[in-house]
Amino acid sequence: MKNFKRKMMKAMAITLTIMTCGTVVGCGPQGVELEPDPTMSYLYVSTRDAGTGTIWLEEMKKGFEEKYAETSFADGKKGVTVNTEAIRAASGQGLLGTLANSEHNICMVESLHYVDYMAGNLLYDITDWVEEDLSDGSGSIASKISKEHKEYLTGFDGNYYALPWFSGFNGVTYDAEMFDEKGLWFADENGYKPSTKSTYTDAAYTGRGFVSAQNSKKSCGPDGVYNTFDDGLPSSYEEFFYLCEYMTEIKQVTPFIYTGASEHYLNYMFQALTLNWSGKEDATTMYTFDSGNDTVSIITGFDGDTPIQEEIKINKDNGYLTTQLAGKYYATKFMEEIFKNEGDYFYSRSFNTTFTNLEAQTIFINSNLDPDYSPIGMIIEGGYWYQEAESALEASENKYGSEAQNRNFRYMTMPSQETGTVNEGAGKSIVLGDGLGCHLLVNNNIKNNPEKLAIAKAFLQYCFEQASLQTVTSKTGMPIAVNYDMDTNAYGEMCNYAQSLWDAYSTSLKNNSYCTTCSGSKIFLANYPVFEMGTGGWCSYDSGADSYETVRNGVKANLSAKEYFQGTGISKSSWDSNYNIYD
Amino acid sequence: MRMNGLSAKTKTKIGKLSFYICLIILPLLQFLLFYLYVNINSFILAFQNYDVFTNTASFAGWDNFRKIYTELIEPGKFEVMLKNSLTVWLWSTVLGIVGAILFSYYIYKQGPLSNLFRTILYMPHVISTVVLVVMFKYFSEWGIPAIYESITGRLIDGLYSNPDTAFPTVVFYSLWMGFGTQVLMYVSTMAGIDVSISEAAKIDGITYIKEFWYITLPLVFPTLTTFILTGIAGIFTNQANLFSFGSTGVSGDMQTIGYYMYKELQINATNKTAWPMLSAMGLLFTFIVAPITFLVRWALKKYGPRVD
Repeated sequence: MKNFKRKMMKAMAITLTIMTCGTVVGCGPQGVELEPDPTMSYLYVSTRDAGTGTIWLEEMKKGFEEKYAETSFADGKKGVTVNTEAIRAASGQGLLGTLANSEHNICMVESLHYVDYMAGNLLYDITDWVEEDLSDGSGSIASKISKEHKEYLTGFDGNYYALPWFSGFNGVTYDAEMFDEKGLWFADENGYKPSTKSTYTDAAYTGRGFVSAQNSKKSCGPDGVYNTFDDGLPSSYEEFFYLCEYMTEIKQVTPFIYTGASEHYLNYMFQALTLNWSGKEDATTMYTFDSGNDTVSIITGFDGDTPIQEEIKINKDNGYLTTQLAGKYYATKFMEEIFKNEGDYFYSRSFNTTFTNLEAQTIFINSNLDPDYSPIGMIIEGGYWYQEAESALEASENKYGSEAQNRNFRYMTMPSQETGTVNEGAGKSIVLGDGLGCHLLVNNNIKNNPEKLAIAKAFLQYCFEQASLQTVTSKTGMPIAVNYDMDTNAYGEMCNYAQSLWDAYSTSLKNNSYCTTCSGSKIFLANYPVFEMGTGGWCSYDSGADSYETVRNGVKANLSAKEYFQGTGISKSSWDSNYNIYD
Repeated sequence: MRMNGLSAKTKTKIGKLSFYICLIILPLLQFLLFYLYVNINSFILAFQNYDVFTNTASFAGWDNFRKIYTELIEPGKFEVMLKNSLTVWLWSTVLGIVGAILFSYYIYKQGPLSNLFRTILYMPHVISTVVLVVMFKYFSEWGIPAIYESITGRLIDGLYSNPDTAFPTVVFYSLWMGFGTQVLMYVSTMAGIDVSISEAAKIDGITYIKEFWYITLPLVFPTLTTFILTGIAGIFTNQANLFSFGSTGVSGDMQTIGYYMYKELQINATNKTAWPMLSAMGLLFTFIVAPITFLVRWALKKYGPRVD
């Protein structure tokens, strides 16, 4: 018996030792192949495993390997294999601790906290690569980047250490097929007005009516131009709520759906509303804290509930005032009104904290096809949602056949005035701003490896060639945050939703209304989490005693739009002691 | 007897010492690195400011402590968080201990379904916390409203979605989670009570309640003391699983001090300019809670029930 016990103890000790040693198997390169072929060059590229997907990387890998199949990047080697990996943690903070020892030579990260990576000496200086002309004759990478984005990227020491990637503008997507079927468009004139009262103003309605069988010409929409992608959309807050009432009271359509499991997604709509109301110039000061000689519309106080709006020049000493942009106030007011009616305006499960984004997407996609659901008109989501919903779209096609193919979902232009309607020539261009902060960067740990540097340079430059930009946009539907065109063929290959994103993006570029949501300001660089165009920070309420991430939470706590808006501000004393501490 | 220049006794001594060193080296290294170094570094960080552009730290004096006052205490945020922290402590530690002791006694006395209770109370501890929170959330968001609707015909919000019931739901979860380990410890301690003591007391006609008060409780008091002291030490660090419930988006009226610090570190994981103030907070709360913990320990030792 004693012998048996001793043997058992030994066996247990050995088993435990093996198990303990087994845990160190976790060390070392994760999921990345070694370089098995000594006659081949290798490049390791990672991307974020999230909504933006991996299709872009697969396409770039394919094209790059093909282009450089006969190229030698080192003696005795020919061709290159690009090993790719999707990493969930590839957002700003996720790679900071692992990048230095990572096998990945190039990474696409979301929400890049640029200065933190610079401070850790993690990024390779790619200035020469960026300023060199590309082989396809489309100019240098630098020539495609906006002036504001250049200031951000070179803000640390005048050199480039990262490049912009996806333009992740967010907001509301609507079902244009349903709008067609149910006549939810605003008519050009003599539209059908089911009610003479405006629920937004609680007074006589001053907007347009809806299209009908007899009167099908759509209004010019928020941009005031006919035959553009926003024709027939509500051009004022008043019209928007009139539409919501029309949907719920008469058309039996639920206006909105969103994912309660990610409450902060509601701030995607807040982003779009703020940008469109403020306009590019005012919105840009939220990042630059410098309006130059121009003035910015700021709410400096309230007379009762009436906002006092002033035109103020912004500089770094009064930059805190940009947290009280007029556009932000009106966006807050819009959101307050939405949530006062949330019982009628939202799909019932939306507010459940376990209702995931994928469930919301699936229901939105099928709501107008499945008789078990009440049709839903709009989804509040990121611009990338269509890629995320790939499985749901496929399942819908399998179930419903051709009517579920290439659905006509479109990105919605949000209104930029409170009441009335926009007539021809009196509108404003759509204003967009990136809310994802996606960037490509080169790992500094290859700085002493000429072969890897050569391949990384070639890959990076390849990604910014005209054809590559078009391919990525065509396949993913998401524009890249640089200046480029989509030719007719590439545009034609895109699905309806992707075309709508491109229409919005290219229009904003053309009309100079694309807001670069970053700057070279030291205040911005040092406090990225506070000022980034994300779904926290700038749009969250914090009074000291209470804090709420969304206007909805504020409304549930009986805050008015005025109170919530004021709670998103930064005081002068806090600005002076925490932020305005750089020359 | 000498063998190869060393006596057998010396060899045995060396062998024992080597075994001891091998056993202790890893935990010692872990203590030095992950406790001593980290805490010393945290202490130093509390008195520094960090410049993200030059990647250098400079002495900041009491600035970070002043920031705690201006950003948390003065606006009233700290008051709310303290209230929530104390509420969680009261329910999950104080009432949790009382409930756990009573459940344990019931199981010790092998009341009806005692084994079932033991399994139900300990089951959550064999499942990952995140998985359990997800399951609990689904039940409280879907299950309970569905049950309520089937009984009353009325629709209600999920318990966590409803601002009026969200915090009580989280507190209940903390209370429920606290039972398992405590019950296990108390039942084990109670099982170690000499059977002859209980039998002698029964012969004398003692009731269950008196037996609990005069025999069982004094004997498990050392274990109870451990849970009381760890509960007090954790007042400022207990995030009540809020991060698992709501990530960084939990509204301010529900936040505890532990959650606030954890959340701020998550948001500012790469923003070194925020670390000094968080370190200062940790230091400040240590200076508050450490003497309280020692005081409570002294009081429990002096005034707590004795075995004799």
